[in-house]
Amino acid sequence: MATSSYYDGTELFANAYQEVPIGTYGSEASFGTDCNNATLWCARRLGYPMVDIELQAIQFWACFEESALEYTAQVNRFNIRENLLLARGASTGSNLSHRNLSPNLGSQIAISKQYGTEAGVGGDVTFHSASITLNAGIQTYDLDALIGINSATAKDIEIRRVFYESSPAMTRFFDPHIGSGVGSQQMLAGMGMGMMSPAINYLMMPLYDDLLRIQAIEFNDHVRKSANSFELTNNKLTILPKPTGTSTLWLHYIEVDDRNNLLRTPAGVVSDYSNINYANTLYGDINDPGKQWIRKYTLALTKELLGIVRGKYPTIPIPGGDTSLDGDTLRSEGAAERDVLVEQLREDLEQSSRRNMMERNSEEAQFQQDTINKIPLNIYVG
Amino acid sequence: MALFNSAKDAAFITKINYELIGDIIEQNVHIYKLDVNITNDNLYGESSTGKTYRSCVRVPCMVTREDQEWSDSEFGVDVNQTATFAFLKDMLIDRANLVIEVGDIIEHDNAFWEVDSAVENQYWGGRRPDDANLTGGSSISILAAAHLTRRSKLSIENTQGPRSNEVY
Repeated sequence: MATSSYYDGTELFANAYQEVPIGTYGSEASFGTDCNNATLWCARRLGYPMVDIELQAIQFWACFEESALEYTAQVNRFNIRENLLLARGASTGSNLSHRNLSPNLGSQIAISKQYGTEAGVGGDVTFHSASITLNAGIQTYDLDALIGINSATAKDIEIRRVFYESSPAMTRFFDPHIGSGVGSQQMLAGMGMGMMSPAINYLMMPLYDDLLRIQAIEFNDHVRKSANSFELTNNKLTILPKPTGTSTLWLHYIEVDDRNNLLRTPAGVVSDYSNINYANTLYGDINDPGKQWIRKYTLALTKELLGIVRGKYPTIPIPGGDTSLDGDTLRSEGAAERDVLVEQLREDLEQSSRRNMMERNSEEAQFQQDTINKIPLNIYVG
Repeated sequence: MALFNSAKDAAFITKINYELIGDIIEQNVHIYKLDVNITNDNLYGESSTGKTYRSCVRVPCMVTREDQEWSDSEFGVDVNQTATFAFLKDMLIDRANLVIEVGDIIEHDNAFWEVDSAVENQYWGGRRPDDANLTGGSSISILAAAHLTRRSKLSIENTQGPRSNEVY
C-alpha cells in the first residue's frame, strides 16, 4: 500500500530552504519551530490521529509558509498605501519593512517647486540667459528666430524676464542722506561725485519721504516721458520707445522641454506602488498576534488543500458500494475561514492607519478635556 | 498514463478504504480456509469424515445480512439466512494473504457462514492494476456470498461439550 508518506506526526521541518516551496523563511529557527507546532495543531484540528489526513508534512509546511508570506504581504501592502507619499523619491535601496518612517515634506516641496518656477522664485527648471542686439529704429524682434525654436538652438523657449527697464528711480533720486530734494545730485554727478553723499546735510527724514520721492520720479517717467517698456506676445518682443541706437538687451528664458520634462528626478528612487522597498519581514520579528493569525490561516489553507485532495474523487468505491468524501465541504469551509481572516486583518490595519489614529487621538483629547471641564472649580478666597 | 485513476490515485482510494473498513466501521470476521490437502475424501471426492479447516484469520469487511427465514418440516424447525461479506481485496492480501474460495467458512455474529460464491468484479477506473495492457485502476473488492451453516457440521468447535470461551 503506497500511502506511507501521509502525515503521521513524525516528520519534522528541518529548516531547509528546499523543504518549503518559496524558501523565504527556511533558515530561521523560530520559523522551523512554529512550523512544526502549527503542523501538529492543524493536523489535530482536522481530526488526526482519530482519522487520517491525506496530506504530507511538506504540504502543511507549504501552507504555513504561504500564511506567513500572506501576513507579511497584507501588512506591507497597507504600509505601502500608508507611506507611499512619504517614500516617493527616496532611494529604493533601503528596506522599509518594520521601520518607522520619518515624516517629511518631500512631495509637497516637489509640487511647490513647480509654482516656484512659474513665480521666478526658485524651482527646478534652469533659467537661461541670452542677449539680443537692439538696433536703432527697430522695435520688434522675433525671439524664436533669434534664440528660440527657429534659431540654431532649435529650442522652444519661454521668456521669463526682459531686462529692459528705465534706470531705477533710486539712482536718480537725490541722496536721501542729503535729503534736500533739490538738484544737488546732478550737480555732484557733473563733478564726478555722483551717487556719493557729500555729507552736507544731516537732517534725518522719514522713510516715506524717500518713497514718495521715488514714486514721483517713476510717475514722471510714465506720464510725462516715454518710459522704457516692452510688450511680449508669442515671443515677439516690441521695445518701447523705439531704440535710437545700438544696444544689448538681456533676457532670461526657460526651455519648454525642460519644464515639461517628466524625468527630472533621478532613476533608482521610489516612484510608485511597485518599487517601494517593503521586503518580507523576518518571521522572528512578527509579534504573537501576528503568529496566531498565521497559524489560523495555515489551518484554513490546510483545510482547503485537504478538500482539494478529497475532492478529486468526490465519490469513491468501497467494497460492495461507494461512499462520498467531504472534499467540497472542506474546501468551502477553508475558503470562508481564509476570507474572514484576511478581512479581519485588513480591518485591524485600517484601524491603525495614520488618519484613524490621529482621529482617535483627537477624540481622546476631547474626552479628557470634557472630563476636566466637569471638575468643580474652587472659589478663590483672597 | 491516464490523468485519472493512476496508481497514486488508486493508493489514495485504497487508503481511504483501509481507514473506513479497518478503523471506522471495524466489522471483523474470522475466515476459516478449507484445507483440501488434509481433508479426507472418499472414492467420489466427498469428505465423508468431515472437512478440515486451517486456523482462522481475522479480517475486517462489510457485512450485509438478509433476514432469517424459518422453515418448519417433519424434521423440526430450521433457520436459514444468507449474507454478503464485502472484503477489501488489498486488505485480504495485506493482512491475511488468502484467496476467498467457495467452501471457506466465515465466522461472524457468533455464527458460521459457508461461502457459496466469491466475486471479484469491482474495478475502479474499469481496470485492474495487474492488467499488462492498462495502467492504474484498482480491484476494490471480493464479495463473498454465504449462507448460515450448522456448527456441528464443521468440527471447528466442540459442539458436544461446553465451549471453552463460554461460561455455563
